[in-house]
Amino acid sequence: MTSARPYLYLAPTLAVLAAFTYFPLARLAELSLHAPGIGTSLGPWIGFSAYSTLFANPLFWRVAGQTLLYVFASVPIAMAIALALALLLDQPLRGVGVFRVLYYTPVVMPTVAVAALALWMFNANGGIIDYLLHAIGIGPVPWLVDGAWALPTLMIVAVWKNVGYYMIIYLAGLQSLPRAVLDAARLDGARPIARFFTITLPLLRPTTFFLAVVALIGSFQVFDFVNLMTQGGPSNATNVLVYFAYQNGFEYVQLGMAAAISLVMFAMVLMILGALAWAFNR
Amino acid sequence: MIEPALRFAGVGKSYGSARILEDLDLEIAEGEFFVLLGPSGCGKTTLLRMTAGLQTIDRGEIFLRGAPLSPIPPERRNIAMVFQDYALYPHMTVYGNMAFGLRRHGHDRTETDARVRRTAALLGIEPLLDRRPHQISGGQQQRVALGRAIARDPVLYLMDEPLSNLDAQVRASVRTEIKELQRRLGVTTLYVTHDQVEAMTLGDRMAVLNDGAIQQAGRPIDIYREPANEFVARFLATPRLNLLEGTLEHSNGSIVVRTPVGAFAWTQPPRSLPATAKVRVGMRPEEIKISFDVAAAGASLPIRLIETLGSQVLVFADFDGGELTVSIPADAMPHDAQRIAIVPSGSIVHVFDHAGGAALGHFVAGGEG
Amino acid sequence: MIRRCASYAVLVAGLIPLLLPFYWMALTSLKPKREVFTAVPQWWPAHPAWDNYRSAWVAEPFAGFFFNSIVVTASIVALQLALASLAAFALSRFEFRGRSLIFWIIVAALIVPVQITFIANFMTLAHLGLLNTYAALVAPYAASAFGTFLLRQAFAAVPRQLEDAARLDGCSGLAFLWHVLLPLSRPTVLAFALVAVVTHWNDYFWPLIVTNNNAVRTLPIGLGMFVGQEVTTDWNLLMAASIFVSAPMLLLFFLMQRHFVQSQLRTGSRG
Repeated sequence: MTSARPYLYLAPTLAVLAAFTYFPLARLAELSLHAPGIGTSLGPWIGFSAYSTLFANPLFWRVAGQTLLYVFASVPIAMAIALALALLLDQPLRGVGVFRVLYYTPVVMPTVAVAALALWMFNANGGIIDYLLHAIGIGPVPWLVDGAWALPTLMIVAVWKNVGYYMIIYLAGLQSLPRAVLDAARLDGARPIARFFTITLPLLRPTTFFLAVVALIGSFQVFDFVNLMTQGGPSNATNVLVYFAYQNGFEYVQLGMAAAISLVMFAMVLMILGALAWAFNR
Repeated sequence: MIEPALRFAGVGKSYGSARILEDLDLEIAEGEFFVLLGPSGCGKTTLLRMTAGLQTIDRGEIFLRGAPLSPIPPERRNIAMVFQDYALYPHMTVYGNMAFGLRRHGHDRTETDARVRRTAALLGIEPLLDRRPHQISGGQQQRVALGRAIARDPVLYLMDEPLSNLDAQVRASVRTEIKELQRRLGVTTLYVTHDQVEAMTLGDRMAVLNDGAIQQAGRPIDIYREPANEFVARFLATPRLNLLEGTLEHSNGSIVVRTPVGAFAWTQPPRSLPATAKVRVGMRPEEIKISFDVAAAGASLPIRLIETLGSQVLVFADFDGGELTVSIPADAMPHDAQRIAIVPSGSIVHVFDHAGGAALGHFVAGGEG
Repeated sequence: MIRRCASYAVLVAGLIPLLLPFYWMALTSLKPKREVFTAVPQWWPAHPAWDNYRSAWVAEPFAGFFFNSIVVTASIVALQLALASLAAFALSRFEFRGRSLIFWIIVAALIVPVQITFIANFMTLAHLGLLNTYAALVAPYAASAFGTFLLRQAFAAVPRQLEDAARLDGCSGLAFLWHVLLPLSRPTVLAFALVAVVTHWNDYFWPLIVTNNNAVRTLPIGLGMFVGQEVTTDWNLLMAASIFVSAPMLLLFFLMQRHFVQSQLRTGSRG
């Protein structure tokens, strides 16, 4: 059928995506190559000097490093916990549905509410976490106050919020595995742990890949926690690239620099995705 | 001259370089039940879909009551189709399935309701009207598919192997019902199948298709008796046609057809036969006369296998050059027969050209040649 | 047998760190100010201060924020369903040049989240004078690559024969989409709609970028402002506010949880 109708039906979606997803990438490039202008207009051309300034800034490297640390620590940890939970739930237990619902609950909470709750629970004064730790003999922890603890605290919050969601995805993956293969392994004498590593895990590769991508894109959610809980501090200890871009754009009003940082972020996402695709599709 | 209900004129269709249908001509009379018979891939379903408008016609034209169909989209052709997989709307009730097309074509609720209920009564599916397709059996679904077509009251029914998904027992009874319904309703019907039995029992007339071309068209019994070529003979034989190498021996105006299993006297051959020629001889299992009195006959063939089908028995015998399949009534089969003798007199022989397969003649063999 | 008991034990144990925060949040929200900071935590409110909710509600124009959230979320989800249905219809039931390419272009958009493009989108909307409008909150989300992907899969599963039957019944094109494709894809449509509602109701980032006026601010922003004020002071009010901001989505979740969990199983997108 060579009519124009399919193109017509696709036009609105493509138009919106072009305007708000693809064109912006070009616009970011343009912004990053010019000095800031007045209002929404561009200043003079400066070539790549915004980038060289950025890469010469030690704060950028610190922020980039913290971002990578955040992603490469919180995502695998959350995925591992999620997989463990999914394995437990992939049995004919009574009340499986109830557990599924309960574990998923943090996922539907707004990040703002989670941030508020976390601020309260990790609070140095009156926070319940410190009290509970004290009850088992561990001293109070300077959660959000100490530069070394702040980022891990945000990681804990993110893991708490997301583990239910990752668990459901793993559960779906587990339930789509061919039972016959696992049964054959049992008959072949493989013990549960061996079966997990030699059969289940490899068969879950597509799911793991999918989840890694989803988690990667989802990790941008960290902005909400940084903005509400630490504002990048203490002393830039929790500054991550997306927050850094936001600061440059809206606090320092350096839109060109913000655009450059955004594109650097995008480049990093692409590289990580590429690495994941290579690793999982060999 | 009466305009035929459906006329195919030089119809052709290609997919890329592959020609599915080539220069096809056919006329179907008003009220006729016409069957298109052929193996998979012969183009019969394509022809049906082109009539429905679901596929375009590349060459030629199809005329419905004299009007060309190409310019009319399928939504407005006033044709109803029964699909092989029934294609019922899973999310609608049986009532909804039958009413949907009527509503889309502009009938109001009262008219639609009357038609749906009338059709449901005709097919005996009234109790199912509130059920959904997944709640009823295959046979019932098929009825609903039929009902959907009948309720539309179209000028033409198209049926695409509607019985192929039914159990064997259900198939036979539904087959009869379809025949009776069509007779009652009197609507022209074009029916596609690969099943020889369906074609023979349902069609007023039929066409055998192969490789996109009509091999033969006419009344089923005529095609059965005098297949136009080897393909048609092979397709209309169960379990399979016996094909033998033969030679024609001419003597005094009559011909003897000599084959590895015997010589058959052709007492009234047509004039235009070639002189001494190699031919292919086709004999249907049920058309070969045999005797178990091998002592009297002299020449006999060893029985390799016997298959009991209930009222009929299949006898497989070896001859020099192949295996012969013969079908006889079960009570004519002795317990301990080891060999059979072919009785030429009374056997029906189909003679085909050795090169092209076209039929040269069909006859009932006379006495010994 | 032991395996099952151990499994239960672990699962229940895991629920403690998961659900304790909720309990603590609810508990704090009912405590009068003097009971919030106590040397030994009270695990049950001695004098439940239901009034906290009222105080929190009036501390910020939450009613207005609530209204804005409803308008914005409803608009986004309605537009996404409409646009995604059309796009999915085209991609699944038509053959045309560039179909595969267009599909991948749409799917590729999934890896470009708003947190990367926000500077440019902000500038675009500022240039058009659309900051602080519903349009700014809704427009970038009008199309959904994710929804298009899901619906395309669902539509493609409808057999060709059914489409043929519908054509002969006089139902083709958009009528076919409306009368047959969408009804048959109801579970997917519902699952997607639920995910979209939760995602956009809870969205904090984008509204933060394009609004600074209470007339258009949404609920998460309102709560965020409240956080800024109340940190280290009125935790009880803050917790109360957190609860009524979260309540609609929690309620929706518990009512429709079967569809939600099914939806993630089917789709793989977050709430």
